[in-house]
Amino acid sequence: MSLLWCDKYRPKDFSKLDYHKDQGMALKSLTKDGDFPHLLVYGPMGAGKKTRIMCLLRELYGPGVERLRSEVMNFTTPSNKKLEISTVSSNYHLEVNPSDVGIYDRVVIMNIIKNVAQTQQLDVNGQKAFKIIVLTDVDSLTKDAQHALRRTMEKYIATCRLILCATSTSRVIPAVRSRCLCIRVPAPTTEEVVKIIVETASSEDVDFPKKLAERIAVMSERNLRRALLMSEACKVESDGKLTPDQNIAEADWLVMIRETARLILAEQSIAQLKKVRENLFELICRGIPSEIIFKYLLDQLLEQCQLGLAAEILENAAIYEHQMIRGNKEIFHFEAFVAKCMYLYQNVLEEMKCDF
Amino acid sequence: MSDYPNSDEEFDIQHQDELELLNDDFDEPILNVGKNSKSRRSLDYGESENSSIIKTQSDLFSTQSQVNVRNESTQDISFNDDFQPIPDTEESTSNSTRRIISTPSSTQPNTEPPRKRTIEELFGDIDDLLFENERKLKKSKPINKYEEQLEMIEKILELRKLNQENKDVLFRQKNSLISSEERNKMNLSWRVPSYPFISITRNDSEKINTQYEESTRSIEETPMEIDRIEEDQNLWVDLYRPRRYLELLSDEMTNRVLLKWLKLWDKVVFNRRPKIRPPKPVDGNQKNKFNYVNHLENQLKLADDGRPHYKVALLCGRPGLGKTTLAHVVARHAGYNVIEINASDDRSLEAFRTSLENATQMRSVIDKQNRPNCVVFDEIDGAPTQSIEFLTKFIVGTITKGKKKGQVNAGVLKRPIICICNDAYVPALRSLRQIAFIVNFPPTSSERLSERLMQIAKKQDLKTDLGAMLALAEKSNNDIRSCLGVLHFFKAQKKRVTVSDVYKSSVGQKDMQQGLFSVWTDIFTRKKAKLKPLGMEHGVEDQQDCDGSSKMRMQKIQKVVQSFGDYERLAQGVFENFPEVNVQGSSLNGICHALDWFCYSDKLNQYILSQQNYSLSSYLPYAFVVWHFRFSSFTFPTIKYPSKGYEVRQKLTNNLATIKQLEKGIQPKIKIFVNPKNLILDVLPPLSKIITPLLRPVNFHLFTVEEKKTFYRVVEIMIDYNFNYIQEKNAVGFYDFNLDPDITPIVTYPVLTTQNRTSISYFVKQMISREVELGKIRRLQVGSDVTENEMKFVHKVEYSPQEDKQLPNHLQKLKVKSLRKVETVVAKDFFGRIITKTDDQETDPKGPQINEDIWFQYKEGFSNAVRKKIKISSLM
Repeated sequence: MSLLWCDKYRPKDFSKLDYHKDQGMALKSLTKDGDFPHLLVYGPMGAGKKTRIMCLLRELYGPGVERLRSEVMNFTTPSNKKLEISTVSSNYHLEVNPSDVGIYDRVVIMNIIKNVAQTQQLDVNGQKAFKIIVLTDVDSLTKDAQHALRRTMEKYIATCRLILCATSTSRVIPAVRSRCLCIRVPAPTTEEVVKIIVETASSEDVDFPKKLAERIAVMSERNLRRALLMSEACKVESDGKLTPDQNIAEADWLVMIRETARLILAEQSIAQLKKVRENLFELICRGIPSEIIFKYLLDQLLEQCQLGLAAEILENAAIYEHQMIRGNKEIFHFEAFVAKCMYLYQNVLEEMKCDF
Repeated sequence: MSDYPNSDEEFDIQHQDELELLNDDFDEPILNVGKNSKSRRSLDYGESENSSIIKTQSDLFSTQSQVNVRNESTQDISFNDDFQPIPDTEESTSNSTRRIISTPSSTQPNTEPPRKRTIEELFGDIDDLLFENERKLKKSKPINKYEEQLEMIEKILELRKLNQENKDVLFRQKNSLISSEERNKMNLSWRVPSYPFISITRNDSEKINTQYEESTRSIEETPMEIDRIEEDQNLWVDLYRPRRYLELLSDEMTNRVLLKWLKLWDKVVFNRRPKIRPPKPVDGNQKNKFNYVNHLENQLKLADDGRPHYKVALLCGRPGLGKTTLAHVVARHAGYNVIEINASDDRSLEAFRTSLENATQMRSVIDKQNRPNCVVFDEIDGAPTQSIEFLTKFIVGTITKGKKKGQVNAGVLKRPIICICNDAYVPALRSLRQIAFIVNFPPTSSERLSERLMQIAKKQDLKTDLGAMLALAEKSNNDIRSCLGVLHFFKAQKKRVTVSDVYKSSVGQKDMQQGLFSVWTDIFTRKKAKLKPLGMEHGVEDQQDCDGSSKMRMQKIQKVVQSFGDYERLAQGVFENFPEVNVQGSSLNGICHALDWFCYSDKLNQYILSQQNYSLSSYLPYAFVVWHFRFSSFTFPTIKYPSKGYEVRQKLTNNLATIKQLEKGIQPKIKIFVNPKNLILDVLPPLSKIITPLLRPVNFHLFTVEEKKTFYRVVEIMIDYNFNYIQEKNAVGFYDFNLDPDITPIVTYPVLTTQNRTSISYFVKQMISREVELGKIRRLQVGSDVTENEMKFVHKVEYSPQEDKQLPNHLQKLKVKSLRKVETVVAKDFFGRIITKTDDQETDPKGPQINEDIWFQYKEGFSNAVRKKIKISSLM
């Protein structure tokens, strides 16, 4: 079994959950009758959505769901393009991330899910009457795919249940949302994160200073997976003894974004714009999702601006991010946003100079 | 035949082929008209009697060569002596006189001969001039070869002019009667031996005489034809398409080079010896123009098998230069039947192959003319790549096939192929370009074009002047087709065409596609002062021009961009270049404005692509106008090709592929909790640190307990996440262990000056690598062991294991062992009812048993050891 802390100490049962225990109990009682509606589980990354889904499945089907196998499914698009998608499945459920195949996600929904959904369970007495399909990253599904989903959900209610997993519901169409029981899994509080880190460490025979755990909890933005991995990285780097004021290694992409924000505010010129562009290219080419870059960049910028300017920047950020999602080439929108920020910042600086 | 006996002789020989080329042209109508070909054959010294009609042309050539030989035998004879009546002149003259006699009976078919005579007569008149020329040429004899060429071209041009004049005269005199005086004159001119037009064709005078007769016929036919068709809705382009070599409007050099290439096929196609000059050394002093031609001509040589070195000619040039016309005219001129395959035909590989094979290996039977085929592939740059590749293979590949079989067979290409394209540098044409004889078309001179336009205008009773035509030619960039289109349009308006009309008309201008870089340059530069084009002064545009050049600039940019079309690439270029170009200038506000337009164009583009609503793309060029106004400067920009966007996309694809590969190998138990996004964001950065702990590079046995624990942890984690180290040779040549899948380019940023990243030594990596491999195998083993153990457990319960173990080996006895119990399947029918068998076969409770004794037989063999099955796990 894996030895990464975040994998090793992942709760497998509702009773073992560390936080949101009420919700866990509620979910458990949901499955009591052996049936439940479609679910839409949403919440920030590292909050434990998947953990809860797996607990739910285990509750329904027993430990058999943990005998997982990964498969590669092949399908053909209407334009005769052969694509394959990897799935993880047990005897009782199938997990697939349709957005892996980009714009062809609709075909995945249409073919693979329908196929699974259409097959009836042969022996109804032995198992549940339905299979479960877990769809991850629902918010990155195309509109077409989501529309394809809504009919599938209703039509095959007898044979399958869908559990959708998303970061936020804002990109899930209302039609799908209204067909599901929406369950929000909020991120754990800082205290909970600290507690989990310390407990996990102690069961690994590591004496983890609480101060350090607090710092990690803040830095990880209450993302439990990140927090645990960071603590483990700290432990590896610490060379034996962990100290409260130890250097915590941040992910490089975060450092990079911070550096980019610094560049924007350091100097406002076209040459600087070019440097910023280089940085952004570096980030994009490493597959960091553009909305994440945008969010963190904005965070960093807002930290350094006073209120009036911050409002303006925020407004522009909203406009440009919206455009970016509707467009294709992120770099155009990033650069437009950066230039705008520079322009606004420069104006403020000049006004201040005039005031003096 | 002796080589170059004297200068005169040499001159003759050298001109011979040129003239023959001309002669061929005159041959052509003969073949068309049965009556004429009959009279033609009368010249053949009776040889033609046993030759089939198919051979007519080659026969002609044989006679010609005979005449040549004869001429050469009388070398010392002076220039004029060349047309000493050769024995059969009588016949020819009688032939012509016969015709003259037949004239008076002015029935319908006999309307032709009088005209012929007028033409002959006309020729007689003008040929004096030509003769003068000829003499001059002769005087300036120490001509070097390129000058000869020039002269030849001049001669052709002269002839062309003559033709034109004749036509005009003819046109005027079309229906007038020809006086007997003229006839006499003609007769007279015929007999005078120093007749100039004979001097053109020194070799066989009488033949040329008759040929001129034929040619005149065709000349006069042209206007007639036009008159007839005029009522039809034919395009002028077709109406006035050159039908003969001399009427060609395209560059003379080009025409000649192509014709020469085609003539090289004579050996294979017509079985006659093509004339090849020894390659001329390219002289540095000569004019560039001639160097080019010489260079081209030097390429024209025969390969070993008698076919030209280049089996295919590739004509390239802008539209409207007359490439297709040239190909057709030249091919017909050289005696081929033209088979055209153009973009309107199906050019899928299969169809292409069929048509190509049909065209090159078969011969039309329905057509009486029985000419060999010449394939013209028009617009080949649009053909699918496979088709072009097939063509290339057909030209090159089949040759080897033929050689293998030892002799020339049907598989060998024996017919010329001419390909026509606008852009020779289309990627699809790459293979063809290497084996093709490439003829680049220079633009037609506007003078010649405007002259031709004048003639046409005259014929169409369109009032205009040469200036207007010149302007038109210039405006359309010497595109013949569009000029004629405009003229036709003016004709429909039925008024006089003036220079200003031409300028005002928006027709005649077409998309002039520029290169990428020139478009970018246009966007980034602004001209200082606009020079108004000629004739613009009294135009409507004058006022527009006054209110600032910005409108002009906008229109220009819009037009340039629109005609280029690939907006996305253009935009990318502007985006990547503007910071460099525009370092000195504009404010951040301006940049913001421009960047907003980038966003706009990107959004629009995405919308167009996703909705497939291409009508919106007409709005895209306006973004370029904005960028032009924001970024343009007077200085010439240095523009780089925008490769950054592509590089980034490429890197992104690579990185995502790495992630995918990683994800594929992750154990399913972990895999359900990760996806690419959180792998990149959350998991990989810390993980890359976790799997690189501080380990001393010492032997594993010297590790402390703690270190061993860390070591195994790392190994386990790496197995879980499907990592391993693989040995690779780095650039310096040393071996190194790299992470596989290599996530280092994903998690690290070279720009950041990171604190010294702990890297583990080569030795530790090697140990980890080995351990990971072993661990993987072990896991597989464990995976299969799980089931095995369960089985064993079941087994042990059934049999009492102690008994087996306690007995020493030698005390054990073979026991009767029941075979594996066959599970009794209760037979059910379709509805689930149990089928009871009629005769009850009670199954033996003990199961089937082996009741006989078991015998062991010793077989002689080689066995020096006790073999024992062991598992791989016991070796590890």
